[in-house]
Amino acid sequence: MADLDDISARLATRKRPASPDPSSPSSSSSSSSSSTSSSASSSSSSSPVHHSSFDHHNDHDHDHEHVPNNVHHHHHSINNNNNNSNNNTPSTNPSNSSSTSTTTVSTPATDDLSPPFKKQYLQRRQQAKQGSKDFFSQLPVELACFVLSYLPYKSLAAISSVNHHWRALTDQQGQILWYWLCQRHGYLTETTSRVRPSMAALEAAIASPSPSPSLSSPSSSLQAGLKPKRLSITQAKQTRQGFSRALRQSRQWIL
Amino acid sequence: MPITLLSLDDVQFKVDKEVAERSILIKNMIEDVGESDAPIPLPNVSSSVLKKVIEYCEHHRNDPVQTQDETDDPRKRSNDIEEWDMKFMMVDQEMLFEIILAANYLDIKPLLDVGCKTVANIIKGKTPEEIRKVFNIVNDFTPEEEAQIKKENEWAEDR
Repeated sequence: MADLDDISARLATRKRPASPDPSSPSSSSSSSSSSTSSSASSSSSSSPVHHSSFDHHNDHDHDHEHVPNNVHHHHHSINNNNNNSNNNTPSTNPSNSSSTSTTTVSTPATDDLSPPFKKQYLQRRQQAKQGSKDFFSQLPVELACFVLSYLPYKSLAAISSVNHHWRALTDQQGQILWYWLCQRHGYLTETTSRVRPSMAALEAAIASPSPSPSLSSPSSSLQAGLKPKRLSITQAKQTRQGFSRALRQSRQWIL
Repeated sequence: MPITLLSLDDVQFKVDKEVAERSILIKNMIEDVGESDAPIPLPNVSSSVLKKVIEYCEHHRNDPVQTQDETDDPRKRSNDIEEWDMKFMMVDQEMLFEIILAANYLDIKPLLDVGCKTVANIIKGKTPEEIRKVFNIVNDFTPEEEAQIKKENEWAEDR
């Protein structure tokens, strides 16, 4: 946990090196802070000390709670970032995360490689900080269903009565789970070499409005991967007559 | 020749090529780009998670590559996890799910399987209330809905 906190604090601190603009006082402070952040990569314990000097910039910004966005150029949001990172930086002295068997070398902060990923990561961290410890429900749907496909029917019934989110995933309309279940129990041959099912196929399956299981209609490429004698499973998957019936069906495959 | 990996917080990890190539993503990347000294950026993985993932890959560096035709293998259906992996997965929940996300992104199928099995084993045998408790899931059903679902799932109990 301490490692993750440390990283998000570092990410929040990091920003692009400010363009040289000596006329503005805040740009000089931000350029000094970017040098701070690069040194913070090697010795992160020093960063809180440096940040305390920026406090006077931030008095009017306290109600901003958003995740700091690293790509802003405005001085205002740079100050804002400082404010947030100030709040986020844990006072604990994090054990140096680079003590692995592999050699780890810290580099100076470069330009952002991919802001969206970092934003997602920071958002996850932010949610964790705000007390949302439900990491399981934060998994992408596809991965959550992959986890569920390892479960016996009894546990599937249990997870379906946890809350709305999990009920939707285990419902007969959440076909991703049923895709994985079919595959796991040998009713579906693996058509691709990828770990994931083809999302296009899944979306087609979900989007196909017709509940009538007309077996001849090649409505989804999911069916292409089915062995002919197993087609009744597709039928079961596509009927929307109730979760329990689908689950009862699944029990027959599993047992 | 060692490969340099660059985590999202700009920490570099030097690992052997065969270790890095446990990740299909990295393997394909190396094949596409060819050998080079430039670090491979992994903008989706933080250093603490990458450290764990590399630890896993180091340990499993000599494993045979998983073949695709194991669908009918009954072992694949079981939730058995070998002992080292079980210990490896003894982390807090946040790290556990970060590892699953990273394994999915890096395309390390065995690690993804182990992670998902670990979560599945946590769920197994638990009642809905116990599942909520262990994952801090909020119950947003009304009492009526809950009764309805209980009725629907009755068949699954006591068999």
